Amino acid sequence: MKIRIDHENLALTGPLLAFAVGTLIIGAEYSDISEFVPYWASIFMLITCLFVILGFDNQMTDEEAEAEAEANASEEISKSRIYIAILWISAFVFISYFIGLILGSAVYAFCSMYLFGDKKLLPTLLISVLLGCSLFGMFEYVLEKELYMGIFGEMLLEDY
Amino acid sequence: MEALDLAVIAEAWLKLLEFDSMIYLVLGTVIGLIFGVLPGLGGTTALALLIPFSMNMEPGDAIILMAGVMASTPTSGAVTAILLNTPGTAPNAATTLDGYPLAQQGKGGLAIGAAATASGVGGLLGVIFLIAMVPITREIVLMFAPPEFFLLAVLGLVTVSLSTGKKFVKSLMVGLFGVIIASVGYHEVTGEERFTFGVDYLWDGFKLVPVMIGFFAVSEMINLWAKRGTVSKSGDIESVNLKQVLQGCLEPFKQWKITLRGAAIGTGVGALPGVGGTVAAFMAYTFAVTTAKPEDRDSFGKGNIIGVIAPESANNAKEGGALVPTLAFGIPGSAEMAVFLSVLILHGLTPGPTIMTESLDIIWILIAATVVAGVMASVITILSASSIAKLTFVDSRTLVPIVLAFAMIGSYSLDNEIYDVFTTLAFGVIGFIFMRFGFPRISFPLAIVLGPLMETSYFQSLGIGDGTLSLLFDRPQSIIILVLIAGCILYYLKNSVGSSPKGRSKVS
Repeated sequence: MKIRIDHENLALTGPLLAFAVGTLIIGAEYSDISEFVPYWASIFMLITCLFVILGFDNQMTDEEAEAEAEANASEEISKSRIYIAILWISAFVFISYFIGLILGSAVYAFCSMYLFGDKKLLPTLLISVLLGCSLFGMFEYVLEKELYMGIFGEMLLEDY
Repeated sequence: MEALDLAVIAEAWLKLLEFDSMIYLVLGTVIGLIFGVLPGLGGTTALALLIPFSMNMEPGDAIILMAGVMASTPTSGAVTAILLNTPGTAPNAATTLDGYPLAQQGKGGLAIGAAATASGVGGLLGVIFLIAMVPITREIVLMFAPPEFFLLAVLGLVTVSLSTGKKFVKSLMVGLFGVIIASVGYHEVTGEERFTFGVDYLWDGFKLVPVMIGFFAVSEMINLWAKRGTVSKSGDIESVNLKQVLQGCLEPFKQWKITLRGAAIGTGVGALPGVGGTVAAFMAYTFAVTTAKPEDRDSFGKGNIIGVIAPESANNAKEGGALVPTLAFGIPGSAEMAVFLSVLILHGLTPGPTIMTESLDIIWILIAATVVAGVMASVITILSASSIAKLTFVDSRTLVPIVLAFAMIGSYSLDNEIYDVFTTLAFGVIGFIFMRFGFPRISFPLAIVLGPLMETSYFQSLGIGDGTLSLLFDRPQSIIILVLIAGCILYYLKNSVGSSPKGRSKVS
């Protein structure tokens, strides 16, 4: 077996290796009973990370490598699109954190469809309002859960 | 409680016939059909999203809802596989081989009728297998003690990773990551805080529901958003002729040997941890081709109805098989079963000896609900195939915010904790990163569910063994499991590491 660094997965295996080392060091300080599972999991994770990084597990034949490359090519999405997707999905949490979950959902749905989806204003507005109302009805009345009002909503309630 | 107590069985059916239960069953079936038809979503996402809603229900009702989803997702996935050449769930891929050519020949209705009926029959046979296994597994599971459960959890992770083939080590790595994540929080025996870094929120560890919802639903939403466009990339849908559909319904009975064989393969494969529906469906298909008359073999791949019946029968039958290790040993065989297991745990139902002895009523409710939901899913699919397939033309810009809203609010509503929403997002991103790098994600939910079981079993084993782990090597049951674990690792080493690769394009 030859050692060949697997550069392609290093962006993921590198941080995972650091994670395993970190949990190993921290986990070693716990008492015997508390440390057993995380300690041994960290050790084995460390070994598997090194195994992958050193390319020992990547023993594909020509046909398999071609098939995987083909499958990856058909699923190819540019990095910028991936970053935008992560940022936009994260935006839901931050919008909701400030203006509340129900209002946040409606606003987020509207922005997603109108700004990114090039949909017409009226149907977009209708779907967003319907989504907000159905979520409100389902959680507040059917499930009887008090939903988060958002930082602004909480502040307004306090002032009121 | 006797395993085949008629009073318990009758009670389970009566429970299912209650108005509320039927509503939950219909709801679960419809949700399952919708999620099954949308490629990339599937049963696991549907189950994860429904957990918060199920928490307000009685355990029996929650199980009925979940059974509806599990029994129906594989059925509707066949519709898009046949009409659009786009399998709704991965196991439906085998159905495209003959289903799509049939649709191109104007026999889409015939294929859908056959697929829906084969699914229903296959599901039913899978449940019969489960029923037959209840008394047997009950006896086996009672022979197991904490050392065996500790080893079974390890075996579960190893076999699930082995099922990913050449990605065994990567899958194991993801599983070990999950085990460490599951150990965050205070230790229930020593009370010691682990990996909390003084953050109060982490005192109880990462909660199961936000982690599961994030890892499956949110990661899929990120992927869908990045891909853009509609869920299905294919063109128009052929209108389905109802007369043809009804003709198709008779095909699985005419080809009863194929249907039975497919179901047998499905249940057998389903019972093996990690192997899953895709392998079952392709195995059944390959078996149907190889056992066909020589003159018929050429017709496969060009629109042979047997090529639809065999994989669909196997695909649905695997559910019954997969429930056996999940319920009896608490070892889920797939990501979907891991999520289902977490539903059981959250409702205070402990899989393994406890559920097999004290909560047999729940098992019978699950069986009854699976039977009815399977039939119901087949009927709905037969009657509304074209409409179901049209769901795949929904734009991701519309679908993502709606699913995301339900996912995030669902996570929040469980404990009214806004930080759960952040956890959901974090695990969504982690799940997506694993997905993009092609790392198998199946072992993560298993590890999250099995981690606490490992800890508890380890501590109990120490207690029984007077502070040592000698019991792991003393009892014949443990030795058998240890041999199986070693066998799995040796099998991987022999087949992957020892062989010399011809090409290593990914490695520089």
